[in-house]
Amino acid sequence: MSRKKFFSKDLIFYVVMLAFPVLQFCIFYIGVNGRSLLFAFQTVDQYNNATFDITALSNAFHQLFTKTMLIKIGNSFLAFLLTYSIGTTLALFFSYFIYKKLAGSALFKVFLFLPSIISSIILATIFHFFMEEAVPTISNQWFHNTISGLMSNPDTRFGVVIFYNVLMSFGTSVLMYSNAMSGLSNEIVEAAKIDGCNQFREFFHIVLPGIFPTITTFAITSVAAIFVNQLALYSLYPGGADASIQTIGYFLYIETLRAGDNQAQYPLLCAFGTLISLVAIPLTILTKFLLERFGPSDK
Amino acid sequence: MKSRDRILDKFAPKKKSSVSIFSIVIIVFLALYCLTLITLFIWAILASFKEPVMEWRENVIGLPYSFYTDNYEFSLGRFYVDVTDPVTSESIQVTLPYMFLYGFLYAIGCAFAATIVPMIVGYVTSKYRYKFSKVIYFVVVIVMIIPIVGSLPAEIRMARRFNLYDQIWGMWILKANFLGLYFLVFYNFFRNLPDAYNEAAKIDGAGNFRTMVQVIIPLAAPLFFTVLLINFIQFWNDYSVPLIYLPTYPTAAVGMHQMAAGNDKELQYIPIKLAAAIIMLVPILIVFLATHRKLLGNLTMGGIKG
Amino acid sequence: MKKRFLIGMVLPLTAASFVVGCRPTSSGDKIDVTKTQIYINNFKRGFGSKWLDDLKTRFESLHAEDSYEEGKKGVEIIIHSIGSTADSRKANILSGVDEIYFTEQSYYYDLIKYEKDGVLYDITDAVKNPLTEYGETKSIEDKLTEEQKDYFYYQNEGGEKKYYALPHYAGYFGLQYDIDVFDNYMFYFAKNPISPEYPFIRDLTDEKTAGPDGVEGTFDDGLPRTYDEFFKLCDYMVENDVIPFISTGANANDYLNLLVNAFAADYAGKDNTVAKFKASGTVSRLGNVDSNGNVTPIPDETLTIDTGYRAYKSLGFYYGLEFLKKLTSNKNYYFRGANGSGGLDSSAYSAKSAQDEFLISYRDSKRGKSKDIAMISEGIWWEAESETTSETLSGGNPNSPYAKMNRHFGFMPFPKATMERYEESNKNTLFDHLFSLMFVKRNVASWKAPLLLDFMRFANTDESLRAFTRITNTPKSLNYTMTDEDKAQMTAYGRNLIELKENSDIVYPGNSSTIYQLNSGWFHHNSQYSALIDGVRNDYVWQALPKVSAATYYNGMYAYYSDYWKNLAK
Repeated sequence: MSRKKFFSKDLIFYVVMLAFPVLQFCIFYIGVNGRSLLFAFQTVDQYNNATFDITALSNAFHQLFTKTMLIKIGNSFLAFLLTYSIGTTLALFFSYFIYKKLAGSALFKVFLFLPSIISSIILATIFHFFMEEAVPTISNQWFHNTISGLMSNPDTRFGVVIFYNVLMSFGTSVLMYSNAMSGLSNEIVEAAKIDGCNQFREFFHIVLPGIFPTITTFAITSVAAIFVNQLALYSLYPGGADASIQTIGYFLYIETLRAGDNQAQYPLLCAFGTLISLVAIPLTILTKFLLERFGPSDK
Repeated sequence: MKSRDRILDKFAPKKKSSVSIFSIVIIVFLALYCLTLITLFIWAILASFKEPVMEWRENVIGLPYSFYTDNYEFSLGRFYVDVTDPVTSESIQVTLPYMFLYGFLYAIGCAFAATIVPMIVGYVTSKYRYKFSKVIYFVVVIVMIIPIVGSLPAEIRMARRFNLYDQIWGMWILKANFLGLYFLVFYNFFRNLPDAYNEAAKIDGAGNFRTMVQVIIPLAAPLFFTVLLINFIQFWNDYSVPLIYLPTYPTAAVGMHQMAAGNDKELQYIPIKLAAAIIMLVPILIVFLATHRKLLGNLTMGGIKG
Repeated sequence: MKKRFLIGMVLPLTAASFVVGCRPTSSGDKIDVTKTQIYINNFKRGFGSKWLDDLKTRFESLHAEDSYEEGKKGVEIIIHSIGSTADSRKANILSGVDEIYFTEQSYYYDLIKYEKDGVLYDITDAVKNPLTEYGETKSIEDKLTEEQKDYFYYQNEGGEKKYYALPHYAGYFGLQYDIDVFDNYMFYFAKNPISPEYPFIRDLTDEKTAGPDGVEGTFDDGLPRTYDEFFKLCDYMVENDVIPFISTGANANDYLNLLVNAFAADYAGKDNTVAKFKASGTVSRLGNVDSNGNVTPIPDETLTIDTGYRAYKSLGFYYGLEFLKKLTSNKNYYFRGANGSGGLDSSAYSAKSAQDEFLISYRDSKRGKSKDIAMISEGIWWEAESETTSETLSGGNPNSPYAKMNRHFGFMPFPKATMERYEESNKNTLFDHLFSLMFVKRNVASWKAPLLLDFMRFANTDESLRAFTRITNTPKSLNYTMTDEDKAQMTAYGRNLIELKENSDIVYPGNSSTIYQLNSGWFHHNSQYSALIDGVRNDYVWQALPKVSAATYYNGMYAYYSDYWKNLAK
């Protein structure tokens, strides 16, 4: 399959196959994000006439450093740290369990994937009502302790939202991790066993380093999604989530929805997006660099 | 053949699976996890059979007093979305069967587009080592690590400009990109596929296209179906995109969203909302239980290099 | 595998061919082809559509013999009840089939100016000409208040003045009280109390205080005049094992903003409240409040377009917040569900559930199954909205003590924040927050326009307005008089509302000032209670008030609006 041999035929095939995907990419990725970037440098009046200036950008910049926005940024980070650390740790353990085909692993696999197949709006509806109605009732009837709904109580709501997100997070990750684990070379695992390696050591010394590339990929996508993650707040709180638990992702989604077809609102939102991207990009690149630099070397 | 393998598996001597403390800890967490989900579902099912006004006041966690099915009847009757037909300007009531149809068309088309494009691009870029292949791989990685936030308004504008807005097929085109995890999955798969397949096909006189369609794609079929299914389920459940892009084609997920967010008198009752949730839950649950074996195998993804 | 793979490839393509033309054929409107149709869009919420069914029946029979299209005789009205407001459907109004809209939370000027030409039909003549064909000498315009005329008589760029819409129903928010419960427990203040510790009447025949309006012999006698009295009453209710009030938790953000808004408007009074929405005129009852809640009055100020935010110094806001703070800081004051799983503390507890509980608890308390609830924080639509629950309770028996017609409710006139304020003026002020409109869409066929305008005029005859009030037991926001015969067909609550409306000043926030025209969506009632607290913007009173004092919130509101004001279009 060297290039010289089949140059022209291969090239035609290659170009034909890639033409549509590349065109699609140019329009709906480059074009869209370019337009978005352009909006950030514009002002749109009530008749949708756009003029270039940096009002939106400077307003967005100004607002970004208000406490209102800093809290949303903080929440985005906190949510990432919590859901990623708890979610990934559990996901790796669970994957290992499934990889080892321990008792009941087939059933667990189905359960772990279950939340991913059910519309978030359905699960969130059930979860919301359970936390608000059933939990206080249980607390009262069984433990004679009157509490308010866990999702309206300011002390518990963020925790409950994180809990929900961790609960829902296992599907694809467990699938990918466990499949990556089954791709590990059997000889190494068996050899380790003969050496008297127990499951705990096997997990940390053989399996984890073995699937590190997959872990890296997930870590990078998670970091990249820090400011996109809405924490399912839109589904969990149909009436609007409290300012103290909002994330940037939720905020931008809600504001875009609110703006509707009122294009005068777009520049500020796009300016926000642009500025946030300026934070997110180096952060993701740094994560990738650190993971590659300090992670176990790849083969 | 397959089933015999499975039977043989059962009788094969088990690998030593000593029950260590480590695995007990994991099993405890897994059990807690499953218990949480089961509790949620059972509670919701029981609640959906409770009379919503008088009974619900006093019976939130117990068994239903009687098997009250009116909630389901009501939810089924209320499952519609009013839209205005853009051509005839008529007011249309989109009922549940149509929402399922739109949901299906949206999900199957988008899933197909979002699976076949990464597959073809993954194949072509992994097997044809032009410089541009590297560029594509690099682009995917870059896009993955460059989060662009808040481009939704611009995307809506673009979709309107190309007349893809409020068209189901328009969404298929919008979703036909090769970006994301599944490109890496396919790329990884094809890169690990020995070149011998291609070379053998070449020797048999097959052209590039024939090789791809008759030799390579069948090899990738299990993987293709897995990704297709996962994508299908995701698109089926997604209400936020159709809510914005398909105002006159409300999908089943959008219908559920309207029910959940609805403020109509009757929709304010929790048992009725839960009945609606369960109506939406059942079909997808059946699809999942019927396909989970296929769904839960096959996927592997390497690291990101570049 | 290959076969299935092919199926996988082919299936979506086959599906694709189905997409074209795959729509439900119509809404299932079965139209009578021998008649001319009028399509009406009704926002279906609390007020329901019974009143519209009545209007339809009367209008159809009135024109049963008239012909509007060749070969057709009579009119058929098709009603589409929709759960979304006209404002949120702006983009679909012109393309939609519906010709006449009854809606709420819709911003008149935004609809007039939407995409330059707007979506509203010019109804000036229909509004200005006397309703002689219906035997009235007055025009619809004559039934509008001065404020409504100012708002609806829009002056376009050419200097011409036009009517494009009319006010529809009214929405006043506040505390609704159960007169039956109040009577049972004698929750009224005595004119001559036997001791300062026990200020309440001991027998229903005891003389009561003059109540908030200061006039003896009126419906509000014995009701609390000041916040002090109000909370004394709440304590007394708790002693009597009665829950003072119930509220939804699911809509707490909106509902409690509205409750504060109602108390704020009542304290400030009509003129001061309206001044904020115009950014002009003199405002009084302003003040500074320090963190300990000490109030220092500020002299009256004249607002300009640049200093409109000074209206947020109105002490009405402070006292409104203070009222809510007190009302919610004592957990015994509000319904929390039998298990703590309901009411204000649960974001799953809907407004409907609260209404039901309010009604059901009255019956169940008699069976020892629950406590009585004295008040509900709701808008005046609540009784119409909870009609089915009343029917369930009475079992359809009109003589049941739980039947709608046999129950007694009232809108509690606002107690004043202080005795001085009470003595200064004891006029009750109501805030109409619903922005409810009736209009015809702009692009109706010219042959049909006269028929649609005729319907609009018909809907605003005294007869139709009275019918609306009789059926919904709520007043419309136009001026018309209910006869005694009408009143006899209404619930006690409906009669109470009529009396209340007649005796109150009504704030109608819509007005023709430039700042309002350019920012009417922003001036929406719900977006008026943002506050910067510790530098963080908070949009809903209920999200912060449990944690901060009323003074902090009040100062946070001023901080937010004085800064935000520069962003408004002027």
